[in-house]
Amino acid sequence: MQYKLLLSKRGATQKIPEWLLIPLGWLFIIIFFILIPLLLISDDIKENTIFDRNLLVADLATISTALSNKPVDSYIDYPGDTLWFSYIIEESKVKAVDGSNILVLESNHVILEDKNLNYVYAELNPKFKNDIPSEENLIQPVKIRISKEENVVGYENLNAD
Amino acid sequence: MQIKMFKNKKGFSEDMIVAIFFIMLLIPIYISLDTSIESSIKTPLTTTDMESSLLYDRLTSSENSIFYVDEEIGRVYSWKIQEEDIESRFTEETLNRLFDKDKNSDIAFKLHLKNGDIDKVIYFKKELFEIGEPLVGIEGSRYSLSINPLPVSIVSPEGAEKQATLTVYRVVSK
Repeated sequence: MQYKLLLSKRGATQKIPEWLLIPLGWLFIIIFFILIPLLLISDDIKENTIFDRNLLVADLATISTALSNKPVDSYIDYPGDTLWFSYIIEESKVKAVDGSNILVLESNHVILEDKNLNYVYAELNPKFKNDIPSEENLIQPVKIRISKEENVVGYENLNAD
Repeated sequence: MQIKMFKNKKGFSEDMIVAIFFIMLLIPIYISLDTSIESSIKTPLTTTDMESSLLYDRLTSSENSIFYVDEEIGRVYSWKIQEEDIESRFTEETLNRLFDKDKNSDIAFKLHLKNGDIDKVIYFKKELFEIGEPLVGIEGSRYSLSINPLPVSIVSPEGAEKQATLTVYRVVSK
C-alpha cells in the first residue's frame, strides 16, 4: 500500500510508510476531536467554573481552619457570593459541585482540623426553580455560616428552609 | 509495505525522512496544545503561607495547645506554660492532634523550650522538618523557614515564674 505525498524535488512521489499511519491517525484524532475542543472551551471553564470554585473552596477551607483556632464560641457568615454551586463538607475537605455539568471540584486546599474538636459535616444546596441546577434557574444561592460552639464546628445554609 | 528503519547504502531511507518530517511537525503542535490547555484550566492558587500562619496562630491561641488555660474563664495564656504540663502537654502528641498530622503534609514545626533548667525540643512532622531545614535558602529550594522566638514564663506548682524562651521554627514546603 502506498500513500503519495508531494514532497519530492524530482517530481516523484514519496511514500508514507504504513507503520507511521496508525500513530499518525491516533494523533490526528486526539488533536482534532479532543485537544482542540478542550482548548476552545477552556476559557469558558476557566472563567465560569474552575477558578471560581477553586477560590471558593480555598476560602471556605481557610475560614474553617481559622475558626477552629478560636478559643471562644464564634461564627462567620461567609460574605462572598457562593454562585450556584452546592458545597459538600467532609473530613478535612470542601467540595464545590456544579450540578449543571456534574463536575465536582476536589481542591488541594484542605481544612486543617484540630482533632480535639468535633466537626459536623454537611451538604449545602442552593434553591433552583426546577430540577435543573444551573445559573439561570438559581433562586437562592447557599449562604454559609461556619460556627464553633463549645467544641463543635458546624456548617449551615442560612437560606435553607 | 516498505519499512526501512535503518540506514541504507545511500544513508537514511526516503520513508525515514518523511516520518521524521511528520513527527517534527506534530510534536510541537501536540506539546503547545497540551500546555496551553493545562495552563488555561489550572489557575494556581496557593495558600500554604496563610495556612502556616493560621497554624502558628492556633499554636498560640487555641485552648488545646501547649499553653496554660484558665478553665473557669476559658482564657488561654499564650505566654505561660505550667511546669507540670511540660511532660504531659508540651508533647508531640499535642501537636499531632492540634494540627491534624494525617492531613497536613506541607508544614512542619519544631518547638524549642529553653531556660536554665529545662531544654526540651518537640517536632510536628519531624521528617519533613529535617529534610526541609537544610535546604532553606538554597537556590531553587521549595522550602522556607520562619523563626519566632517567644518569651514565656514557666510556672511552678507553687506559683513561682521562671523566664524562658520558646522558639517556634516553621518549615513550609511550597
